[in-house]
Amino acid sequence: MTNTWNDEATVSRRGSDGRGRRSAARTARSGFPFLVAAAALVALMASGRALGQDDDAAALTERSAIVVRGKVVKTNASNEPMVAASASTAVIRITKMYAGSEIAGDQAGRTATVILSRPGSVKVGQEATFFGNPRFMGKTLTIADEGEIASNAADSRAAPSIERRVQARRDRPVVERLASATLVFRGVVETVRPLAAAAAAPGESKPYPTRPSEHDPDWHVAMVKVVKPLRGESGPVVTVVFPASRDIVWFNVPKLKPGQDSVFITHALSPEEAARHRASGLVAFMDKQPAHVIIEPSDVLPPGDEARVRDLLSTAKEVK
Amino acid sequence: MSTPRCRSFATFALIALVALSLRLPAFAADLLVNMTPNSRSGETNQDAEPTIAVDPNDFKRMAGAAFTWDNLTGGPMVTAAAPIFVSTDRGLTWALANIIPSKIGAGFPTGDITLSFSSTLSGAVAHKTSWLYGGTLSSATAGRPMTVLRSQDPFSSTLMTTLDTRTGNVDQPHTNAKTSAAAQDKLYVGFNNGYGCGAPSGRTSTFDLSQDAAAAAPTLTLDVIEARNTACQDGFAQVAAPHSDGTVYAAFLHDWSSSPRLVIVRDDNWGSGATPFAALTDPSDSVAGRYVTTALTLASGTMGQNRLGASNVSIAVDPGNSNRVYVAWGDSNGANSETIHVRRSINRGVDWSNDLLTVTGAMNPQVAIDDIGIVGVLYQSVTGGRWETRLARSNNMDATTFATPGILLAKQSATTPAATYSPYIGDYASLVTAGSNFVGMFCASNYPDKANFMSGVTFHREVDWTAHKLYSDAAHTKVVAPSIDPYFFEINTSICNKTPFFCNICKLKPYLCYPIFDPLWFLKCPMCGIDILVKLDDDYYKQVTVYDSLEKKVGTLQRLPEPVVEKGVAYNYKVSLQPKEGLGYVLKAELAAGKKLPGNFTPPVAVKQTER
Repeated sequence: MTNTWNDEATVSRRGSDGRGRRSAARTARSGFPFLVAAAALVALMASGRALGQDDDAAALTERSAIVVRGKVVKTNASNEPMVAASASTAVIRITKMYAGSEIAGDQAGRTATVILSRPGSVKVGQEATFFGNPRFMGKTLTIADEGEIASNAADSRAAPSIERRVQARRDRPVVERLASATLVFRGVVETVRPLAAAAAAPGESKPYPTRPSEHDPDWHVAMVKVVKPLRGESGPVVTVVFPASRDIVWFNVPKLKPGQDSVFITHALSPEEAARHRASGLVAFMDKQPAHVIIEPSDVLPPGDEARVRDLLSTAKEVK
Repeated sequence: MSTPRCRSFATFALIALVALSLRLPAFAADLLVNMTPNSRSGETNQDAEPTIAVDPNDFKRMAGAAFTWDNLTGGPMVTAAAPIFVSTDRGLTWALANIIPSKIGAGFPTGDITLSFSSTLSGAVAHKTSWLYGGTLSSATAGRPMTVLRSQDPFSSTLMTTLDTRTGNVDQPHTNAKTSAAAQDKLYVGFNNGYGCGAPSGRTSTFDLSQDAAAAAPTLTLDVIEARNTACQDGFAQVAAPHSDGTVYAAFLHDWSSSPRLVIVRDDNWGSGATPFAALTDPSDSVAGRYVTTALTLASGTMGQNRLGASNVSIAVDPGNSNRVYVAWGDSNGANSETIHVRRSINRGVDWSNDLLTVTGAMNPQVAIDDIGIVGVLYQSVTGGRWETRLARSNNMDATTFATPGILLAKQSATTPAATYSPYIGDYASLVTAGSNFVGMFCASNYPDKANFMSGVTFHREVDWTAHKLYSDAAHTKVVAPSIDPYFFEINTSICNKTPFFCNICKLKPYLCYPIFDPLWFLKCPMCGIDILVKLDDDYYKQVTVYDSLEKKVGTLQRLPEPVVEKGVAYNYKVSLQPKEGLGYVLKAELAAGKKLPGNFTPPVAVKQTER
């Protein structure tokens, strides 16, 4: 039988082989226990509530890229040719998408196949919220459920909580970058110029190839005036190095422009990165003067995210 | 008394009956499919740089990949798994299966990625499939390491297992798997290891290689296949072409950063010895690696919004004869333009022809050889402001000439949509074979105009061909801007594409004819005869007749009293012939009653010259 928001003890959840859980385990193993704890706490605080009736919805949302409300159209059924119909599959009609529209658009009104967290956990005609991750995207969407919670009158109360948890999931990459940041500040870009390969100290690197690599970062240097420090101490102007390349591996890293007002989450070069980029002259440049790098999409955020970043920083501090 | 209408019906019925009695072969239509599935109709990503793999055990099973995000707009990843395309109906429909390890928040889904099936059934429970291997620049960890991946069941959407990780300045993994007679999966992931002057003596052409990749915990070893020093690095693509007899060729651009030359290396035992890939030396310096070209001027700049000079090396070995190997590459055609070239060797890479095919203003050459020795070349050229994607096939017995410019698959604008990142359509395209057919994947604009595509093109995403618009919804209320999409194609090819003479002999059942020709027979010894040795399953065949390319019957295969064993293959039938210059042969099989072949008639064949 499917559970309700209030039935914490019997919520249907995927077992230990669920991808979401494995992913969390991998994250923890890879040296980010602090980040996992921080993310969890962020989610908790964002909800503004103590642990309670919708904890399971929260936990499921944390592991799920797709959260939809839907009505069960068929059980023991599948719309996806690669997923055999069984007691673990059902076809639902999506009535609302809480999360996942960025994956396949707004699927409201369309049918989807769900691979249930527990065989036989839904009945035809039943309405429920399905938490899961994309398994297949073919003619229709197939969701591998982390869990299902039956809908009832409590929905209206729980929905905002789910949305807050969805935001917490979106915050995860930012939390991760904050954890390893050298500086966090609101600032305005004053100047941008290419990092000349000539910056390399004599004898420090081998001659740069006559042609740059296809994945060459095309390092550029920005001088950024600090408007509001959020974490870490710096002078009034910070030297920030960023990849201006439009190559596939770099194009989603923000490109700085003079006059740009942003929240900056800067980093130091790791030893591995220093080794990789030695020939580009970056290491020599950073040896000569204090400089910070931005190399991930989450390292530069719009000014409107200042309060969000502040909240995330204070949460992380409390976790520490 | 019959009426005229009755008579015409009777005539029609008679024609139909005659046609049926002749059992005319059912020629399947060529296929061109936009691979974006319907549930992703709102997608606007630049899906560039494709790779396709076909399961040798069942051509219905296919996998492909490109730079494809888990989200619709190319933003940072929202899940921890990047998708590949999978099909179980031979490319008619495709679904995205999220199976490549990635990371939430990563700026790219995967870096460069290539896929290859072996012929070993994986034992997966949910779906019968062969092992799928891949090499990718991973977005799952910092520094985008080169990872070697394996999937037991790509059709169950389970994350691929990471077999190996190589860090540093690594680039462009090219994956090729081949199953040996001993049922071991030989896996070759060629990659550039240490670009930017990061490798000792600038020798960056490297294989990450496994001699038994299907094992529970396979061992992968690094083989540097560059035997000469370079000024800094080799070219970014190092591409393998393994043959089932253990011959493995590889092609790369030596000394990319200073004085580039195309080099071919070869190993005769799967690359397993103490000094692998040293079987082929150049006469100029006796060092391993045969130069195919003099120093090249590589293309640079951009063409049709796509960058030039990053890759563009492809190699293929004839599945019926490991002595025959073809290579394709690109060099400069002046500023912002490239020229592609195709050459071949018929003596195991020792000597090379001049260009058999040259196309100016073109890039992304991919060469493949089907199971009857027809050579296909896929390329993309900018003509009249449009990206044209074409497949050119060889059209003579010796596969030295090509029907040019080839079959037009797509001709889309080279200026719209605007590039969002580089590469625009990819540093390579992808071409493989399925029996005698050519199967490939390329990337191009999805602007919907049937006049710009091969006849019969199929879109699964919501489209209005009349209004030339794409939509995200079935009601066609929300317009979606055109973007770069991946396309799948399969071009039917038979012995009729080899030579019209053979087609005359085999037109009713082309799949039961196997052509044989080698110019070396006559060149080596004009007075010698040849013995064609064939391994046949007695249960399947009633008779195999041999015709020459003048359409004259010249013999039938005769059973040998004792099999002749060559390279582990026991040949049990033979025919002895006296070749003439330019003359080829075709083995035409007649099946035993009630027997049906699973694919084309492609028996193991060996040809030995005999003194007369």
